[in-house]
This record gives sequence, C-alpha cells and structure tokens, in this order.
Amino acid sequence: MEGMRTALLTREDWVAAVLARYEQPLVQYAYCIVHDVELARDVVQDTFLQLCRANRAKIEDQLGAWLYTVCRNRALTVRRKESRMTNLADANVAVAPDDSSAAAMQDETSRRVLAVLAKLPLEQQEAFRLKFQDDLNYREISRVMNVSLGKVSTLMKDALNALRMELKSELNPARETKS
Amino acid sequence: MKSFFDEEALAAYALDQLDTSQHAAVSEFVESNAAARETVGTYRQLARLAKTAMKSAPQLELDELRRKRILQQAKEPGRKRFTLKRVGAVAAAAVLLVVGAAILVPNATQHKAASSTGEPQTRLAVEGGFNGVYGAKGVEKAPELGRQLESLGYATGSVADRPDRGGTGADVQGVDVNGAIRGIASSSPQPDRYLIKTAFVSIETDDARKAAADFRAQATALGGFVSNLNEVTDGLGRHLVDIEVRVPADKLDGALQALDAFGKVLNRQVNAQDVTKEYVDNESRIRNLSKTEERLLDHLSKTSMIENTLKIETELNRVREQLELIQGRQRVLSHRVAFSSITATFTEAPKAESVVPAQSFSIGKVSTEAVRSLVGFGRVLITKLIWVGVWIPVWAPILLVGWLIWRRFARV
Repeated sequence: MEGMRTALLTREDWVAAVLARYEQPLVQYAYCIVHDVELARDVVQDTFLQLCRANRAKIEDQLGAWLYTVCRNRALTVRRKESRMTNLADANVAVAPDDSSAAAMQDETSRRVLAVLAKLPLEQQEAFRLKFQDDLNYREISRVMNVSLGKVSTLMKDALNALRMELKSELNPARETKS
Repeated sequence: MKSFFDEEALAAYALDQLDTSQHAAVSEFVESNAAARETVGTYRQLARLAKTAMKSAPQLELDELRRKRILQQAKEPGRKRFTLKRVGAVAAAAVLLVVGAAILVPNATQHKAASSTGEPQTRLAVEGGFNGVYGAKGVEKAPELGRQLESLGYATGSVADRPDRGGTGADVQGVDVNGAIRGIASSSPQPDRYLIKTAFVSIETDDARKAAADFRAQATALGGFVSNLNEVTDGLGRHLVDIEVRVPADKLDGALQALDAFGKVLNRQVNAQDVTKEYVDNESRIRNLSKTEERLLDHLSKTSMIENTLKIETELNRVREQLELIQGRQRVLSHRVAFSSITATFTEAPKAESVVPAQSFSIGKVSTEAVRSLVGFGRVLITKLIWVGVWIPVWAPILLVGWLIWRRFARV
C-alpha cells in the first residue's frame, strides 16, 4: 500500500483499505502467539482501533511494521495474562499443529512444511511466518520482534536449515539454481 | 561451510535481503562456488515451498461485528479528539471561573453590602455556574444583594426572588462574571479563611427554662437551629439547662450579644479553628479525583476486553469511594464553617436551704426494716440448729469420751 496512493483517501477509506490488506495476516500472526482464535481477533481489533487513533502521517511510511509491532505487543500482553504459553523468548517447546489446519491441508509437501515449522522454536517460527506469510523484510522483522538484524538473519538461516534437513528428499537445488 | 560468506549471508542472499553492494559480492562468490550455489538454490526452493504452505493454510479473519466496530471508530476519532479537547478546555475554563467567582464574588458582595447598609457581612453561596445566572442562597435580603450586583453593573438582566429557597434566595440574570471578578478582586485582596467557631457561655438567671426557650427562639429567628438540649432539676428544685444552638457564622456575634440580656454572664469562651488548609486540600483532591473518574469512564467506554473492563470498574469504584468520602467530609466542614456553635448553660441563683431534709423520717420504713432484720436473725439461728442436730453422730461420741476421761481424773 503506497503512501502516495493512499494519501488522497479519507481516514475511513484508508482504515478500510488497511483492514482489507492486513486483516487476515494479522489475525493469523496473533493466533500464532495467543493460540486462540477469539483472543487473536480481539488483539487484531485492538490493533486496528489503535490505528484509528494513531497519527496517520507518522505511521503511513512504515505501516506494516507498525501494525505488526502493535499487534505483537498486544498479543504478548494478552498471552501473559491468559498464561496460555510460556515466555516466547525462552521457550523451545514445540507447539502442536492445529488439527483443523492440518486436516485442511491438501498438499502433502505444504503439510510437511507446516509440521516442521510447528516443531521449530517459537522465535524461529515467528520470524519465519513474518517473512513468508506476511512478506516482511529482515529490517521490518527486526523492528517487529525487537531484535537485531543479525538475530533475524540467524533465526531465518536456522529455520531454513531445519526445513532443509526434513525435506531433503523433496528438494532439487540444481533446478532452482538454474532457474 | 568453509567459505568467505557463511550460510546466514547465503540465506539473506537467497531471500533477497542484502543491499546492492553486499548482493553483488555474494553473487560473485556464489557464481564461483558450486556448494554455495547449491545452498542458495536449496534456500530459494524452501522459500517457495514455505510461501505455498503458508498460502494453503486456512485463513483466519475478523468477524463482521469487529470489522464494523473498527470502521465505525475510523469515522469518529478526528471529530472525537477535537470534541474532547474542546470539552476539556471549556470545562477547565468553567471550573476556573466558578472557583474564582465562588471566592471573589461573595467577598465583594459582602464588602459592598456591609459598606452600604452597615449590616453584618454575609456570605453568598454560588451555584449553577455562571452562564448568565447568579444564585444567592441562605442569605437574608439576598434579593437586595442581587440588585446591588445589578446596580454595580455586574448584572444586566432582571432580579428574581426565589421563595422556594427558604424565602432568602435570589437569581440574578445576565451577570457579567468577568467584570464582577475584576472589580471584586481589586476590593478584596485578603483570601478567604475558613473558620469553625465555637462559643461556650454560662449565664446565671432567675428562670433558666424561660431563658433557654427565649434563646432558642432568637437562634431560630437568626436562621439557626437547636442541636442539643439538656435539662436538670436538683433537690432544691433549681433548674439547670444546657442548650446548644447552631447559628449562621455571621450571626454569631449578634447571638452572643443577645445572651447578655438573659442574666449575669459567669463565663464566656469563643474558639475559632482554622480549617482553610484542609478545605482547600479537599477541594483540590475532589477536582483530581473527578478528573480521574472522567478518564476512567473514558477508558471504560473505549475498551472491549472484559478483563480490562473489570479492572477499570474496580478502580472506578475505589476512586468514587474516595471521592464520596472527601465530598462528605467537605460538606461537614462547609456546614460547620457556615454554622457556628453556641453552647449556653443557664443556671438559677442558689436558694435558701429547706428546713426539712430532703429524705424525711418514716415510722413505717423503720418498722419494716426492724422486722426484716428479726426475720433474718431467726433464719440464721434455725440454720445453725439444723447443722448441729445433723452432726450429732460426730460430736456426741467425742463429747462423751471427753466427759468420761474428765470424770476419772476428777475422782483421782
């Protein structure tokens, strides 16, 4: 969503456009932290309500990172209160994949990717999802997760290597290199 | 991997996260290194698989209700913030005006009234804000004071008596509050003092009950009331009456002077307790707590989380409880400041002692006491005889043995 194009929109239209663009990824992201659909929806609702009150000019240039940061902080607060999970930074506990999600998987490889992802440490999962689900770059991820750029790079490398080990048989790097 | 660029750099390269110069350097390295090329290829393939997997997962979204709420909020914030700012500014200005006027207007009115009529100074209670209406309550001749405000140019409209306020109130329309404050400020440089005045007076009079009744009537006429009354009659028929009345503070001197007419003043004591600091502190705390309450209500209207709602309501209850406590204390203070207390003790002069003692002689009473004493003696005697009779098996053999021994020695 480019600032030039949205600058002409009224606040209501702008919020509607942002909502349409970020609603699903944010709910998905919040769900990964709080592990409860309704709580995730509450978190995202609060995020957008905060967006309504925010200074549009100040956040428009970094809207994605801003939304994910607010959403993450809110989700972590909710999660702390709900005590549904242990601390994200310290936890290395594998999270069981959502049954309904798994059942809906049609593609076997995709299912395996998600299964491997679910076994990764939570910080790696979060960085990985922000990159591949939400299309954030390293700099935005470091801002959202409040970690250094080097840390993001390490998390991403570790996650990719874990995937590589699990999906070795299905990979064909030669073809990818040529392409 | 032993190379110039490690796997992190290759992963960042594969995911296109390097800046131009880094990208060129890694690209050159990858071109010349087969292992690096393979690693980059693997990472890219994994990235593609990951994206596909993410896309294939069922998508969660907001429900319609939440979406509507967000869009509704998007319509309001600009206008709301502007309104809140305006309301806040207007409220702050109104509070300043009311407080300033509450302090200054009564002083000025008292000053003018006292200087022009020579009557004791009178406090005016301000109520209802200053949007064109000035209220005077609990004041004798308030309509006159209102007209004085009008004559001084502070009120431009009509003056209306308000008998519904005990016949002593008045509303003055169209008061120029700022003008009144400016004019009054120059004439009353002294700040208000909040004093709780208490007086104790002992009076010797011929008829204490009549004096107390007359004093009570006078206090009522001054706008006061009786808060305590105690009457004692001694053995000589002398009456002693303690009466505590509360009169408007400005009428205290008049009421004390009126007491002189009832008889000989044996003792007079007037105390004044300065509660200005507590009064002002309470005002300040009430203002702060009211603002806190408003802010909490504002948060309450915005939050949607049940947990937050409960927390805010708990805090709101605590703030309201404190507010009510302080407001209650403030009302008590205001009342005690507004109404001074006079405790008058009316005693009658000592009279000659009666020839007949208070408790006179009675033959019947003496006879009754003697009979009661005799009956008591008889009861004790019979009780002892019964005890001696019952214990015969014990004391009779001992006595018999003792007598036999005594008789033998007596023969010898």
